[in-house]
Amino acid sequence: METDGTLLGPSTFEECCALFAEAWENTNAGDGSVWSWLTPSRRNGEEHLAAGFLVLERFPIFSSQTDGANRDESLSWEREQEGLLEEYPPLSSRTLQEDSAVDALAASAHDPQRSLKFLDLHIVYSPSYRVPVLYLRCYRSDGKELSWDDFDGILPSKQEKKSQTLETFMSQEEHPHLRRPWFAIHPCQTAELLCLMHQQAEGNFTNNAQELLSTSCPQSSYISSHKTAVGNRRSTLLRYMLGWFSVVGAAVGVKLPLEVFRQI
Amino acid sequence: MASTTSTTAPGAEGVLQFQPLQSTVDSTFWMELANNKLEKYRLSEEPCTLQGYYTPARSSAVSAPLQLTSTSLALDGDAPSAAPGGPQPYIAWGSLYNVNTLDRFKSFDRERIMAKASEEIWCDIRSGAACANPALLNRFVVYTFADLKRYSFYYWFAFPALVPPAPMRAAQIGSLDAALGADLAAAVVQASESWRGACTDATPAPAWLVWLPGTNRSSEITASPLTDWAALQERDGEVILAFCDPCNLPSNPGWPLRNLLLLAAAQWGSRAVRVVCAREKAGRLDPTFSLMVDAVLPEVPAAWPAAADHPPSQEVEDPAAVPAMAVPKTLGWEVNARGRMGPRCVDLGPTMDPTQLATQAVDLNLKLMRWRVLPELNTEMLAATKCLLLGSGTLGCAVARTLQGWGFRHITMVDNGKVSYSNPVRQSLFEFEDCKNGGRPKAEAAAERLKAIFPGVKAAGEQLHIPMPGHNVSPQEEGAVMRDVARLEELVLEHDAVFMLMDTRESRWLPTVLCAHHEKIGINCALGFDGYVVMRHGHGLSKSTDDVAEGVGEASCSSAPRLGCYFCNDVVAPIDSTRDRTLDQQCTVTRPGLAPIAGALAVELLVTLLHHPQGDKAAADTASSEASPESPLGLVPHQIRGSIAHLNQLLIHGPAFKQCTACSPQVVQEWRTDSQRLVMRACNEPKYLEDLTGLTAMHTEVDSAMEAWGDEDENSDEDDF
Ligand SMILES: [Zn+2]
Repeated sequence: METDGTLLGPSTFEECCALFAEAWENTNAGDGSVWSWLTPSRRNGEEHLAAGFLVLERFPIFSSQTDGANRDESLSWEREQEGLLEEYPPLSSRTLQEDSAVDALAASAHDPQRSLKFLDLHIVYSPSYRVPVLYLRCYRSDGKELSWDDFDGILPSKQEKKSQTLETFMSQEEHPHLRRPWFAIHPCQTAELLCLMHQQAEGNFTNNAQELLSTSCPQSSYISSHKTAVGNRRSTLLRYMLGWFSVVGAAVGVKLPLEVFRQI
Repeated sequence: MASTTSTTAPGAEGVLQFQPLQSTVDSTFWMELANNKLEKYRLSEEPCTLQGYYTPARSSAVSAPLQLTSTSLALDGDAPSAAPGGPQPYIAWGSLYNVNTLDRFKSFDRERIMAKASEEIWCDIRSGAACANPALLNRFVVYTFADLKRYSFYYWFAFPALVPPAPMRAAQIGSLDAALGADLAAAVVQASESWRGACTDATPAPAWLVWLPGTNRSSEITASPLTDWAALQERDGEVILAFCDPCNLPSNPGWPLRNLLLLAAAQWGSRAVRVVCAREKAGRLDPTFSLMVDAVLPEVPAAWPAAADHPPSQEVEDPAAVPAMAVPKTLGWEVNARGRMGPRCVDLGPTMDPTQLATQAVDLNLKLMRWRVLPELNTEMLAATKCLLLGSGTLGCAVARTLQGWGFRHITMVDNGKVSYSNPVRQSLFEFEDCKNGGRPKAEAAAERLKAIFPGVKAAGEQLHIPMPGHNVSPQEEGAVMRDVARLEELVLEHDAVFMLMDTRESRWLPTVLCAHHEKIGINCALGFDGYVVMRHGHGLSKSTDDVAEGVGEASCSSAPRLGCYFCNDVVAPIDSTRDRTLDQQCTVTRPGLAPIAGALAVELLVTLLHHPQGDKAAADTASSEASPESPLGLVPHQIRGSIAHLNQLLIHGPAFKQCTACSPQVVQEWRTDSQRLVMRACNEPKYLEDLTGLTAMHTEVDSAMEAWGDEDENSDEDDF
């Protein structure tokens, strides 16, 4: 087993990802969204990276109508342009008729789809920290990616205004495989994040999940101490991944249902 | 206006309402469109083929959109290319009309492209082509304008739905397992999944038939293509229509069912049909999430629609342009983000514009410093603080680079020299090329390089000669000199902080006077061979109070005494320090590491000062204030003197000198009375400033003033240039 205490080797990472994706799909944790393993062709100098990374695309998230991002959006240059274009050219009689078609469901004022955003989550192996790292981007349905400031009111840890907020852990980093700037939960903060989770445990986790995770602190060396049987290995790796994701996922508003912990 | 979402609304009793498809465009699609526009389409406005992707609804919270990604454009009628990750999606074929200008976009004949698409759909229904390939029912159109200068895209999607002769109605709507019972529903799902699994086509058919055996339930439930409709009618049992339903709502089907039901009514003559709206959970069709609709269809005669029903826009003079058959009316334009009929606009500058990408990355970097280490760090304030750099040599370059590192966005470089061959190795903003042909003006070259390093900076270069005391001005030169003085004053006024980084002592005199007069932050930096001094000037003399009249060597409004300027420890007026030197001696003879050290200290001093609650009125911190500095960034000393030979650094402070030749009330008052007289006499009369400030007459006071500088060491090798 190529683990060193709590640290993963690249191939154990791949194994962890497979177990995690399976547990996720078995319990429909993503309400229809599933993880897939992507293996981009490796370029020179990328031999240290894992063979691939785990991808969850277009995970829908909703922001409330009153949050900052939406307020700004209504004042944005884009909405202004659209307002100008609505009046030009004048609506034809056909369009007016269309607007009032009895058999088309009209968009209602409280259409949740209107405040819909999407998250792309990538679980990428960090060769320097030898841990999984969560990369993410968030975008609107027209393709526009949200900037750092737009995350206000969307991600729970920014909404809650906790003393230790997401910005303590999140930064913009180059995606090791895609080589473009992405947001990332920095791996050096994983331990602090776990502590934060334990503080907020009542809010986010039931005691049951807490119990299931109680041995999963990455600071302990439980991975190396559970080397015995194949079944143990499976549950050890899965527990590690679920423990890790329950923290970083919650930081970006993606929570694991309780059932998923029963897969351990 | 039917703004209702309920089927029980007055006048709409039992009318089957469909949830419109919603477009979702990935930023990679826009990038691909921008590339194609530049390299392929250029000015062509010919339509091209698109493939859009959609799936059954997978989440109860949100419907599945029609999605465009980078692969949507990768073909032109060829076989579909690889779709985005996850289970294989369904494909809808679209036509993209990209126009070249916003005006063309505004006046685009969208009814024409809608008519063309609906004609194709109707022809495919009537000809049976759509029965063989139901994906043809889901054609869509989109017209776009790509503003590549702004990285903005305008677009409007339509998902054409042919309007039937009368609205379709629903006798019943509910979940599939409620309608059929759990066992039967599971079997329908099972049959549909295995039929789809057996399908080898690259694009799975988005609609199919499910046959339920009749009274004799011994046969198995089967799924089959739409073309089996007639054959299945011969068998004992019930034929159910099924389709991939992107809608997530519990009592409405999604848009693709509209054209499918019209096909059933027009081609099969169905007046009532049961429909499975197939939706997924956890990657499989789900009998609880999927719907069963008992649809009641209007009669569609063979001759429908009559020519009279023709949309007026298609009545053109040219008979050849009239379609072979009449086409039903169509609707399906998507609403914009405000929920109104109109196109959408998306500004992708933050994702696509390299300048904006750099700006965000630089900002974020600084914010990380705030979040992780310095919660009090005010990056917005630094970005708004305007810095004037007098001198664009070794110090000017070092200061400018460090300012950029801190996120200062307004930097003006001033110099009257040109880049020479010896400069680039020490002056980090210049290159060999800048030295050729006599050299580029330094200020201009430096500002340009600052923008090349970071395009988000507002950098300007100004070639300006700063008048110096003791450097004679002839009457003929007076006009030009006073123009320089006026320009320098304008520059000082426009900025918040003034860095004095010149290589002569006396060129710092006028800027010092101006900073005192206009109450600007003055930061001074000078180098010896292996020593440096970095200092901030005391705050200026307010015009609104009586600072000047009172004489402000002592405290005026705060308890801390006003701090001195660069000239406060001089007992003689600045004179022409270059006059008696050879050219070599005028060159900067310093250890090369000195300017980066001193320049960086000067910027750090400014940043710490700006965060001090008293700003430039802050009392001078000394090493003993280390325990509890008032600025969250640390000490705000008056002067930092360091030696690279001794590797030491001292914090020194001294009050403003009442007879200072630059910052004293007498000088500032004279500037306010007659600035031209002050400058001209200072330049032309060696003893003028000493007379004006009382230095000459009060020589005895000099000694006592010097004693105030008690803790100053004998740093005589510090020299000024
Ligand atoms: Zn002074």
